[in-house]
Amino acid sequence: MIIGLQTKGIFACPRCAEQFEGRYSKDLHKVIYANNRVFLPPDHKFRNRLKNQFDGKIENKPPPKVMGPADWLKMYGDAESKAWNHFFRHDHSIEEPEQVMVEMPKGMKRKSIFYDLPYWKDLLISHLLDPMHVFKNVPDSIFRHISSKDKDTLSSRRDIALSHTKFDRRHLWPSKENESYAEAPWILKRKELDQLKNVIRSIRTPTGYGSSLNKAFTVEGHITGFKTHDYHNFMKVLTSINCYSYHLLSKTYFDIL
Amino acid sequence: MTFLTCRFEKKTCRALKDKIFPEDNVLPSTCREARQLLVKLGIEYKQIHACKNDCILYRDEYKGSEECPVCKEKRYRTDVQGSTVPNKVLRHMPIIPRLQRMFRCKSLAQLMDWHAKNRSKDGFMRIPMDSKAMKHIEEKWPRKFKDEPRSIRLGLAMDGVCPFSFLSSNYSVWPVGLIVYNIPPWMSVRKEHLMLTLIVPGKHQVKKMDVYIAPFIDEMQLLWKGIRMYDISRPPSNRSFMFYGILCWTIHDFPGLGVCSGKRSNILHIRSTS
Repeated sequence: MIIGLQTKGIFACPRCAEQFEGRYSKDLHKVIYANNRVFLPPDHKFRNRLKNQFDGKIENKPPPKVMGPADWLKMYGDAESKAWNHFFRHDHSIEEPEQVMVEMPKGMKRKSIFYDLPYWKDLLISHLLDPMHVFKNVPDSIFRHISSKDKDTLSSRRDIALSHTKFDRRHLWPSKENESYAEAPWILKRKELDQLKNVIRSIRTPTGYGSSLNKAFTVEGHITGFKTHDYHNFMKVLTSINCYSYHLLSKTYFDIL
Repeated sequence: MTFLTCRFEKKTCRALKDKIFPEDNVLPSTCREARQLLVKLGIEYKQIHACKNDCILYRDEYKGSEECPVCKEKRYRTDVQGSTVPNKVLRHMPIIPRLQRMFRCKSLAQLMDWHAKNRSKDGFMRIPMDSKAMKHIEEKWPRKFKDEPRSIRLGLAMDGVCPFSFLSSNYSVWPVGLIVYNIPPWMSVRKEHLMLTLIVPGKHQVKKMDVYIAPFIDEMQLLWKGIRMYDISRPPSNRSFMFYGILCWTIHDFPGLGVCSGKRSNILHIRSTS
């Protein structure tokens, strides 16, 4: 609303603009952002993983160039001059008040009022995001992913097959006759889920570090008792403790990540 | 003064005056009198009428007009005939008088260059002023900000708030607050030093936020050009100085960054030049 740039759709990222591309999935009816491996360092091992990993290809692209406010302003200026040229070429009379439509560059919605400030285009950072919001949503969705079948639907399987992700086809690909499919390997069994719950419940934190997580789960396995700061702790410290000490999630968990 | 603002917040001027204090006190007896006293001291807000469809604010050139020049919507409510009740009101609390008052207070004026004295020297970032973006500002405009550490650095934070109940999501007001980065961080996030500048009216999601931020942007333009400021903490010969201000960044969540407005085209209005 403030920045005047798009935050959803194919060009959702205001920092990467055109170089950041999503893919619209017809099965899921939403845009998917899958090419996140470009942000890894160039010699990272995940860039070269081939068999049964990611989309089965090697990622060679460098991370996209960051677009600052100055770049957006330049793009808008180009679009505006183009619109004026178009207006004069078609010989409208200037005496009557007319309207000129500016075709916005990709990812931009309108010119924000902050560009009226003379120094705005020279700032290094113009907009900050609140990380507490983000820290809440990520572990929440990861947990729902591994604990229940909500996200593992037929349409999501179809989408995986279309996007050429090389998972084990025996598990994932629904057979054509009856459209039945086996359970996905990353979903935890009942016994494993109980084990995971016990791990999280048994965590004792120092005084003032975080709240007690004794009643963090419902019967169905969803998280309920977490506050925003608990999510923050969970992402930073507790996930790694869980993974390394118990080897419970180690295989499946990192496949998702 | 503190007593007065405290009481006025809870609207209990009269009860205390009659019951607790002796008879010949000078406290205001009603809330109305208390408000009049506070307004004279500069603690006030300006009401700016706005178009119902968020086209314009009725100020400057449109100050006296009765209907919106863009969408032809009436300024005042039409369900009561001859009424002067506006459809939408933007509350604007000017920041420049408040900044001037900060420099009149001795204990606070001393703290306005706190950030320059307390930079970290070992390379670790401890306060927002140690960050790369803040140092970039000082390098870019050294005359305004490096030579004069009292020049103010502001951050703008905004988000939608449901004023009446958390669950009724159809009414959302957008308060716009400012954070002063000059004073120590444990003070700047306190209630006393967070500055509320605008209250954008609600009921429905505002379509054009740019229109409502405009009065604040005008003030920031004035601060960028510079105003004369009177600092009481310095020796008497050296009290007046040129004061600048910059808006460093805005803080919000991801939907607040770029919801709505919808169209991917912008309309420029051409006026006759002859």
